[in-house]
Amino acid sequence: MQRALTFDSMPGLIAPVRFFLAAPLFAMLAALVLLFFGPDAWSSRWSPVMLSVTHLFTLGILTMSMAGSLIQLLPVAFRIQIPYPNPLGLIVFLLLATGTLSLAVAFLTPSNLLFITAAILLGAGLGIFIFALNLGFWLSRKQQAEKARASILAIRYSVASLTITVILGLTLIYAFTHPLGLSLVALTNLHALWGLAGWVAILLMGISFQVIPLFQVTEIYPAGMTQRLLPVLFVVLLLWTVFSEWFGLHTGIFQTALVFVLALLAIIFTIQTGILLKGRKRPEPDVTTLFWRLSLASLLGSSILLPLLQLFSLPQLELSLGILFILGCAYSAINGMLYKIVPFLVLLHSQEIVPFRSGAVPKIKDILPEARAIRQFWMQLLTVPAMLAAAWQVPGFASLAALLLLVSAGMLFFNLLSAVSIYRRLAKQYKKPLKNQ
Amino acid sequence: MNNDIQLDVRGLPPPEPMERVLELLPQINNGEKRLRMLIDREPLPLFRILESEQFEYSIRKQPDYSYEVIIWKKA
Repeated sequence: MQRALTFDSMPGLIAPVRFFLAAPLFAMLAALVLLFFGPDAWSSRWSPVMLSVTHLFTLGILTMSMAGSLIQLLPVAFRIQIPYPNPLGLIVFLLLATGTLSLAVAFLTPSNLLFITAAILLGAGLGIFIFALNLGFWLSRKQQAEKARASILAIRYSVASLTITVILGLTLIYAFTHPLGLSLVALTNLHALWGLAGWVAILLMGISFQVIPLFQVTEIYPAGMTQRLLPVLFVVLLLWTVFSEWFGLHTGIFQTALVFVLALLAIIFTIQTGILLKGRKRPEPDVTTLFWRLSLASLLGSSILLPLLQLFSLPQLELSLGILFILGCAYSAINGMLYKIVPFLVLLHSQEIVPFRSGAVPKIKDILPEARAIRQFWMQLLTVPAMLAAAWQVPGFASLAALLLLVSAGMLFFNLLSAVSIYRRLAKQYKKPLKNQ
Repeated sequence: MNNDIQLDVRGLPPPEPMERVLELLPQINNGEKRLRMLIDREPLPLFRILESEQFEYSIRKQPDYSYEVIIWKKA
């Protein structure tokens, strides 16, 4: 039984919401960088502009909203008490936001001073976040919700992967600013592997086990999958690391086998989730289901491209893999989930401040009108193929893709902001300042 | 009690069950009727609201892992 949510200890509205509002702002910033630098950005994943945009996505959008969700979700869904969630949320948010901006600008300039600033800010912000989560796991080790054990385990694997990603990232900045003779390419590949297949994919899958049955009203995932898929994935990542070029144990055939296993795990997850969504008890798809479909289709695409890269090592293919996984799969899933989480939080917090029976508690459909969210979905759906066309140097698409991303992210920001402003209006009316909630 | 208002919110995603219950609460506010609901999960956020608004409730787990919740006005 995965459907278990508790609300006894919900951090204040602003603590998670500031992460969720920042995510589309970083997406808009990434779009502006792509628009400004034009087709040159798309030469390969190693172009400074692309490295900058990649980190605006992975840190500014994905890590930003995932960190916000964890600060919000762990106490509510899993009875894991994070110490001082509100000041902690603010500190992590500020360090993550400023660190991401420094890193994005550092790649563009490139500036050693900014790289070191980014390393300090991100190292501190993510370090505090990881420490607080692990402290929460330890403090709540006896009272964790039984029913959600598989998801908690997923979060622990995911946070462990984030730790490895951060250490590798800091090592990369050090190696970049103080040449050490390390293989930067092999180290970067490991950093990307742990960040994307570990931190992002494991968390996304682990959270899906909980939220797809709950919010999309599907059957629950088979226990065999929730218990085994992610530990196996984590072991694959460990083996991949040990047998990578960086450790000197590189054996081609073993590496290729691991690539296929990784792709297979992603395909198994995609098919299972697809089956659950197909059997939804409500036939008409809501906006989050539409985003899940886009996310799963993109994950399937990534799972096909990953083994293909073993055969054809083309820069365009590498870019396509990144676009499908980061933009198509992870960002779309988060985008869809934000449309569930933010209105839900606004409703719950509104109920606390509005007098009972006053009739002033807003309805979900008024907090975030579905039609508006669906219009943004169509923009996101167009952005993914446009980005792929830009990666394959189709003329005109570098600008078009960036413009579509700008509009899609702008619409997401506006939709979330108008939901939050409903709470702000009520808070003002009933004379309770937002920050005390 | 035959007088109970019946509400089946199984299969509805959050927070629709809570929205439905809040709409019906005024009908049991005079203490004559109770509200009997069937739901897929323990509606913990609802309990917090019920407690603060002077309602009492009982909860029973069903064999199919859904829950029966009965709500009535505090005497």
